[in-house]
Amino acid sequence: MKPDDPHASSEADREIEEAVFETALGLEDPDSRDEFLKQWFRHDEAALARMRKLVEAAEKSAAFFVDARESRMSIAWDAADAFESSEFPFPAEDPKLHLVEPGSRIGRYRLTQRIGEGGCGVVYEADQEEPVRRKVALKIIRLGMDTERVIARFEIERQALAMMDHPNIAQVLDAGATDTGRPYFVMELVEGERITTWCDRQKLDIDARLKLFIQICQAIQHAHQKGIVHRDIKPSNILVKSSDTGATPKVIDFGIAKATSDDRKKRTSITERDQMIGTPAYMSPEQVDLRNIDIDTRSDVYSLGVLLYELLTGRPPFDETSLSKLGASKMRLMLLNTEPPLPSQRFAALNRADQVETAAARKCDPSKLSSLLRGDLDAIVMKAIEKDRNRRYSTPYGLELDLRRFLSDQPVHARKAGRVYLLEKFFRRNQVACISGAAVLLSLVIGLGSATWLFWRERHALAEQVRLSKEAEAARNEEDRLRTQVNAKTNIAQLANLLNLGRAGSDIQGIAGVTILLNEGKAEEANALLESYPIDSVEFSPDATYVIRTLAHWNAMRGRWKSAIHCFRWLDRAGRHENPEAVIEGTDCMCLAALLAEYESPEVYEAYRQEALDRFLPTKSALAAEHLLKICLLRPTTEENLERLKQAMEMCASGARSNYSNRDSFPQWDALGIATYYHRCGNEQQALVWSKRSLSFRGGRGDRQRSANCLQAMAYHELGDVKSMKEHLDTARSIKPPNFDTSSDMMLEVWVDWAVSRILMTETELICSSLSIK
Amino acid sequence: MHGVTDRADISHETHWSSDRLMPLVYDELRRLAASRMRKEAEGHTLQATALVHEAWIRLAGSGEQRWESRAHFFGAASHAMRHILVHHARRKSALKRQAESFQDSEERKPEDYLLMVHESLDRLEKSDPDAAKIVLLKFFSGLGSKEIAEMTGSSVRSVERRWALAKAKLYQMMQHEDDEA
Repeated sequence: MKPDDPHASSEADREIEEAVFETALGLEDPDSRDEFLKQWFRHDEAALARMRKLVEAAEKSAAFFVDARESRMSIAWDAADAFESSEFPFPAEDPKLHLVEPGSRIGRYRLTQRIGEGGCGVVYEADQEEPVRRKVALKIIRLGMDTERVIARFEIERQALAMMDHPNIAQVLDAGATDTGRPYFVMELVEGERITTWCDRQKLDIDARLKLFIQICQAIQHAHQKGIVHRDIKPSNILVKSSDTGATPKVIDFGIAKATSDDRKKRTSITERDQMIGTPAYMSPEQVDLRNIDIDTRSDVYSLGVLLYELLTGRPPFDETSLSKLGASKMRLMLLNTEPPLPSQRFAALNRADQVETAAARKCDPSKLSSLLRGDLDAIVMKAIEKDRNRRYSTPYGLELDLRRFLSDQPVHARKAGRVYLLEKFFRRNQVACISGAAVLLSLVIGLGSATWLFWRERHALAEQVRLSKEAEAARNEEDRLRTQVNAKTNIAQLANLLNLGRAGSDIQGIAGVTILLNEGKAEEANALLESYPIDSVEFSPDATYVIRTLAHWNAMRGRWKSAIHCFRWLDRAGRHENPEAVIEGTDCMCLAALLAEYESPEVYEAYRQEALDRFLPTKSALAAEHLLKICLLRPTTEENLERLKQAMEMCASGARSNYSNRDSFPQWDALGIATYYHRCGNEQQALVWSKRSLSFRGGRGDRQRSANCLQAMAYHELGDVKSMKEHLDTARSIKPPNFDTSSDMMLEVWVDWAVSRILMTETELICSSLSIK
Repeated sequence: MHGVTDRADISHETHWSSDRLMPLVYDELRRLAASRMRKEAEGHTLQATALVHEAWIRLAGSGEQRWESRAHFFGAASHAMRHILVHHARRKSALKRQAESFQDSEERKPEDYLLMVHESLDRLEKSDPDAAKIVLLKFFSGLGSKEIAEMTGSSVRSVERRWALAKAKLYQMMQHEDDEA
C-alpha cells in the first residue's frame, strides 16, 4: 500500500492518503478514530504517527485558515488600493472608461448632477424631457461593473422596484441601456431629508413620529408581499418629503446599500473589508451571523425596530462609535449576543444635556419622554429587535398593529412577558456564553486570539463537508447534488448573490439562471429552465420565492395551469415556514385554490379547502378573512364548514362596515366575500344585500362586478325571480376579462380575481340554464 | 500590451507563461482598481470574487472556454496573485513595525497570516507539490472548489478533500518553522 516515502508521489497513493484522512476526520468519536487509524496502519508505525499528526493538525489548520482567508481579503483590498495611485496611469483610449458626466444625455434624460453612489450603481439627478417634463433620479450601473453577473444583479434590483406600487416606495419609471450597453433605470426623484433628521428638525412629538413610522411599515409590508426583502433599512434609506399635502416618507434603494457622501464618513460600514453588507448597527443578528442562510422578512422587522428605536431615543441600540472600535469578529459577537438596553434605559443613561436636547426634538421634556417610553413602547421596540427572529413580530404589519394599539390606548401585544419567557432568555444567553467560553479557552490554547466563533463555524463546516460528501457518494449525479446543496446553503442573502454563475457566463444553471432569463424578459425560456430544474429541491428563500412567484403568475396568466399549480404548490410549502397570518394575507393560497378549483378534480380542491380551514382559522384580520372566504367558497360546501367559516365572515363584516379601503381591509371585497358566504348558506336575501353593497363601491377592473352579478343571478334563481336572474346574468356575461398574454409584470395578481369570477360564472350558467323555478 | 486584440487572443491561447500573463493580470487588476470596484458592496461576493477571478472573466470574456487553457491561465495567474499579495503584505508589515504600536503583539495582523502561509508554501512545494498547488489556487487566488474541480478535471469532493489535507500539511510545516525559529 504505501512505500517508505512519506510524501506519496503516485496518484493512487495520494488519493488513498486523502481518503484515509477524510475518513478519520469523519469519525468524530476519538476512540473510533484511533481504532480506525491503528487498523489501517497496522503494518506501518511511522505512517500511523504521521497520519495521527495530520489529523490533529486538521482542526487547528481549519481554524487558522479561516483567519488567514480573512487576512488575505484584507490584503487584497489593500493591494487594490495601492493600484489606484497615479503610478499606474490609464491606458490611452478605452471607451469603457468614459465616465458619465453631468450634462450628458442618456435616452430622453439629461443628467444634471450626481447625487449618490453605492452598490453597483451611481445615481444622478436628471431632467426628463418627454413625454412629460420633470426631474427624476437615474441610476446607472457603474463602470467596470458590467460583467454579466453584475448586470443581472442590477436588473434584479430594477425588477424588484418595478414590482412595487406603493405611495411610500420610490417608484420605477423607466429602464433602458445606453448605446454602449450600460443598463440604467429611472426612478421617482425623492427630494427629502433623512427621516431621523427631518423628525428632529420638525420637532415631531412621539405620536407624530409613530404615525410616520407606520407608513414605513406599510411600505415594507407591501414589498414583502411582493416577495422582496429590503435588507438594508436605515435612516438614510428613508427620505421624507414635505409638501403642502403633508409629509410623505419614501423608502429608497432596495437591496443594495446606498451611501451619500456624508454617510460614508459618519456611519461605520463594513462593506469593504469583510463579507458583511450594510451598516452593522442596523443589521439583524442573522445577517451578522454568517452561518445563517436565509434572511427573511423578519430581518427587515429587526431593522425597522432599530429605526423605531432611533426615532424614539435619538440613537440606535448599539452605539456606532464603540462598535467600530471593535474588530469585525468582536462586533459580530456583540451584535449576536449582547442584549441592548431598553429605549427608556438608553435615554436615562444619557447625560442631562443630551436628554434635554433629545426630548426637545420630541416636543417634550426629559421626564415626560422617559415615562412615555417606559412600558409599552419599550416592549414594542424590544420585541421588534429580538435576537431570536421567531420572537419578533413576524411581519411589519404586526409591528404596525401594536403601534396602532399603543396610539389608541389599547393593550399592546408585546407585553406578554412572563416568568417563563424571561427564564428562557436567561438560559439562551447563558448557553451562548458557554459556547463562547469554550471557544475562548480553546483559542487561548491554540494561541490564535481571534475569530473564536468562526473557528466553530469552520469546524462545523469541515465536519459537514465530510458528511455531505459521504451522502453524495450514494447519489448518481454526485457533483450536481453537492453543488445544489452547497450553493443553496452558501449564505445567499449575505452574499446577495443568487448569481453563482461559476463560469464566465457559459451555461447558466439553476435558480440563478432562471432569474437572469426572467430579467431579460425571456419568460418563456425562464419557465422552461425552471421546469427542467428540480423545483422541489430549491431551498426556500426570498429570492427563490420572488422568482417562482413571478413564474407562477406568468404561467397562470397564459393558461398554463399545470405549471402554475406546480409553482404555487412550492409557494404553499414555502409558506408553511411562515407565520400563517402573513401567508393568508398574501395571495398565494388564493391563487392555488382558484387553479385547483378550476382545473383539478373536486377531491383535490376539497383537500386543499380542508387544509386551509385548519391552517388559517381563526382569522385575525378582515383581509385574511376575505381571502379565506374566497379560498373556501369557490364551490358549495357543507354546513359544518360554513359554521367554521362564520368567524371569517364576521371578521369580514367588521371590515365591510367601513366606507374606505385601507391597509386592513377592502370593504368592497369584504362585502363580496360575505355575499358569497350567505349564498352558500342558502340565505339568498342576505346574499343580495351584500352583493349590492359590494357593487355600491365603484371602480375596480370588472372582476368583482362580474362575481357579484353572478351571485345575484344565482340568488334570484333560488328565489324564483327569473326576470331579475336574467338581468344579472346578462350583466355578468357582458363583462369581459382583459387579455393576459400581453400583460406586463406589473399586473401579476390580477388574473386571480378574474379566475374566481370565471368559476362563479361557470356555476351560474349551469344553474341558470336549467331555468327551473323553485 | 493592452487593448482589444489581446483579449481576442486569449480565448484561443493554450500555452501560457508567467511573464506573458503577468502584465495582463496587472493590467486588469489596475483597471478594476481604477474603476473603484473595491468600494462596491459587490464585495458581497468577496468569497467568490477574488481579484484574479474577476480579472479572468474580463480578460477572457464570455463564451465556452476550454478548461485546459483556463487551468493554465489560473495556475500562472495565481503565481502573479501570490506575488502581488506577498509584496503588499511585506510592505504593510514593514510599515507597521515603523509605526510603533502599543497593541498587544500577541494578536496576529493580517499580513502575518499571509506571510506565514507564503513562506511555508515554498517548503511544501518541495515536498508535496500537489498540495502546494491547491493551496496556491484556493488561498491565493480565492477560487472556489467547483472551479478548481473543472480545471483539474476532478470532482468537487476530491478537491475539498485535497484542500483539507493540504491545509493540515501546511499547518504542520508552519509549526515546524515555528519550532525551528
